[in-house]
Amino acid sequence: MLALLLATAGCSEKLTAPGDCPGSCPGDHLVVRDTLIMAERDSTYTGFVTAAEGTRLLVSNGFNGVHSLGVARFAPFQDSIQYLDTLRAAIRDSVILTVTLQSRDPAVTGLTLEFFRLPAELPLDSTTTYAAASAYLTPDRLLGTVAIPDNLTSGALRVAFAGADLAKVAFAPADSNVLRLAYRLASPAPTGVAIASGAAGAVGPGFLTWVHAVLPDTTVVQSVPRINLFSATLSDVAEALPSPDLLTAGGIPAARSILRFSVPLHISDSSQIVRATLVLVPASPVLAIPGDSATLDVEGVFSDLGPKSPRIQTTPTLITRRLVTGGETDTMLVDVTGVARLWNAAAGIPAALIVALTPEASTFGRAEFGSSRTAGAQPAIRLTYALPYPFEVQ
Amino acid sequence: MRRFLLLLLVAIPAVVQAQSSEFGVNGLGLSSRQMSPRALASGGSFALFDPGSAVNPAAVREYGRFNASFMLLQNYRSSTGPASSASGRDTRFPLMAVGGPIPHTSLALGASFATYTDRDFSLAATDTIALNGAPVPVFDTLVSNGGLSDIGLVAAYHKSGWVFGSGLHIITGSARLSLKRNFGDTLYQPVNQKAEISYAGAGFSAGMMKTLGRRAAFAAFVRLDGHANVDRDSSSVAEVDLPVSFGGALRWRPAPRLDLATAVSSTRWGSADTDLRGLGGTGGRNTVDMSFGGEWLRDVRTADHLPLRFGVHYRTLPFPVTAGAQPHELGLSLGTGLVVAREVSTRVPTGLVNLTLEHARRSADGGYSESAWMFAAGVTVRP
Repeated sequence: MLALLLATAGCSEKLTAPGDCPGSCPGDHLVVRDTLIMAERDSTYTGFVTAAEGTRLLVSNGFNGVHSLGVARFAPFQDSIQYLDTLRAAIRDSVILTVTLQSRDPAVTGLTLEFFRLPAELPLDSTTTYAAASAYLTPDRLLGTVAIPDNLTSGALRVAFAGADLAKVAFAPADSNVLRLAYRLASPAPTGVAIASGAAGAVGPGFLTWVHAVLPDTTVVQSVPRINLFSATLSDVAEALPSPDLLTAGGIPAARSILRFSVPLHISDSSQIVRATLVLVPASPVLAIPGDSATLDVEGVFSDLGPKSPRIQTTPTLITRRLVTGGETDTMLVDVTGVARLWNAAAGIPAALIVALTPEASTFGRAEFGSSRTAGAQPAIRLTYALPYPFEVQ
Repeated sequence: MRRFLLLLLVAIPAVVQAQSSEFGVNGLGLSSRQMSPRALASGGSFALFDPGSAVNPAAVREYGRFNASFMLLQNYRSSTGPASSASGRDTRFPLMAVGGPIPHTSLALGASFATYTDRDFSLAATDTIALNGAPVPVFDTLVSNGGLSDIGLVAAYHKSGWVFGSGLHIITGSARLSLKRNFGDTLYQPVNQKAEISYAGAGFSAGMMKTLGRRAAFAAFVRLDGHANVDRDSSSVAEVDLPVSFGGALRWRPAPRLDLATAVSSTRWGSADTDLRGLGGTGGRNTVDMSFGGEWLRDVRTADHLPLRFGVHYRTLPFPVTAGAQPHELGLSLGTGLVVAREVSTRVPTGLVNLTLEHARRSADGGYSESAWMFAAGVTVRP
């Protein structure tokens, strides 16, 4: 034990001496440089996420000159319930329709969300248009309205039906027990709200029915939820295709842009990148309702296959997210050091970045940036890198 | 006895030298004196007569029987630079030697494994640099582990009071270096670079010893090292000329219990100046090493047991910290030895331990200085 103690004490080392600059300065020979590399062969691709695949329904009444509806189709209602291995006729007691508000402009008050019932002859799928749906938004199809409290920025909104009101949500044979809804916003000023779509999961549009079955000696009460099979945003103005001279991210359907850089070999092969900043110059103010925000996601790609380039999403630290708010016009600086450090010959990762606006197909606006073809607003990446240290000098 | 030796071996690192130093950062590192604890205790003045040191190949003839020796060094130092200071410690095993006479001949053979230059160091510094047009504080650390080693094979021949020796030296070794820079602005990722610098070379040495009457002796050596090929991660990056060394020593015994010696040697590291400057370093300078010391025996019949050794040395160091300012070192040393095992029948010592305490003061123009306490321990076995 004594020997072990002595050996342990004897093997401890403390080599560090003060380095003074210049002279015995460790950094005397370390060269760290900055360089700005302009993007090249950059382009925008669209159609990645459609209106029916977004996680939010965008309901507006003239915001940015656009009217839009949210529509939802639910799984067929089962008019019987199973009790003691026997299906029994279900008698509806009440129905609750719900949506979850996720974003709104807090400056615009007096908002009301209207629930309309759409007929069976409207297919309500990805081919449904705003014009087709809005034709049915007549007073006789209005199921109910929900006043959105002025201080509510997010939370559940619901309409309940019971008694005589149940007739509003009764099914005709042509309906095949399928409930089809449209959500429209009414407000004293043009604005918009975002509500969770079916793609968002449990917070999406809800259709819940409470039923009971009468048995000789008892009454069985059950809730019958119906999952949302389809939901989408329908707008009266079709989304314009992204400008070929700009880089676009976001919109419906969602667009993404890819930027490529020619990183000099002396950087990619032998230097160590210590900081990389993507510089994007907005070509126009970022469009979004006040109070709403989106994030600009910048990711590397495993291989450059154009629009089908697989994005590096395996490691959270390699995904850079920058919050984007409406009206932004300043140059955006996005730190992409984690990805840029992969741009070396050994890793085989191409020097390319994909820019997207998330949640995709779920924001009112889109971001447009100057491209390599835009004079004075070209995107670039600023690299700070350390040259190989000449250890043999020491 | 075996238990005592084992305990001693593990205990020594806690109390004994090394050569890591701020003066070993540039060039090929801090040059080693390649001396045994016994020679160090006398300031190095007896090194040319000491078979346990790897200086004079002729000295191997001094072995009376087969010897194997092993040395441990522990260094405690306080380093000061122009703007800061720090203390450090480290442990090294800078010298092993074996050898002995060839029975019934005038020949003796030996082999040694010695540190040629020590490249163990760690430097830390802070600075501020401009990045993206803004000042950014940086914190740098440069660490090196390794050095050059000298594997020597020597032979000596004794004839009519003259001893001649020669040796072949293989110089090899590597240093694993790593540099780390952290930025005060955490948006900058740390710089972390590593490399292994390896060295390979060869040399030749020759030496002689001559007794001058009954009380004096003279020794001299010359050593020619060629050049070292320097590779970085297996890629050749440079060739550095290695020095020619030569020196002489005089030993005088004024009384049976007192032995005095003085030595002077020079190593022509200036030959490496152009090569080292070509790599971007501070170059190399010729060095001189002067020493004086003595050994006072408690009992001439048991010379190895508890003698008192003392010495002083002065030397210049080959690799400047800053260009033009050659460092130098002044050292005072004290030591003794113990016989820890004897042959039962003849009472001849078969196990020795030599201990040395040395204080060295190194300094160079520009505000660089270092105060080091070095403990050396050598274990010698004569089976």
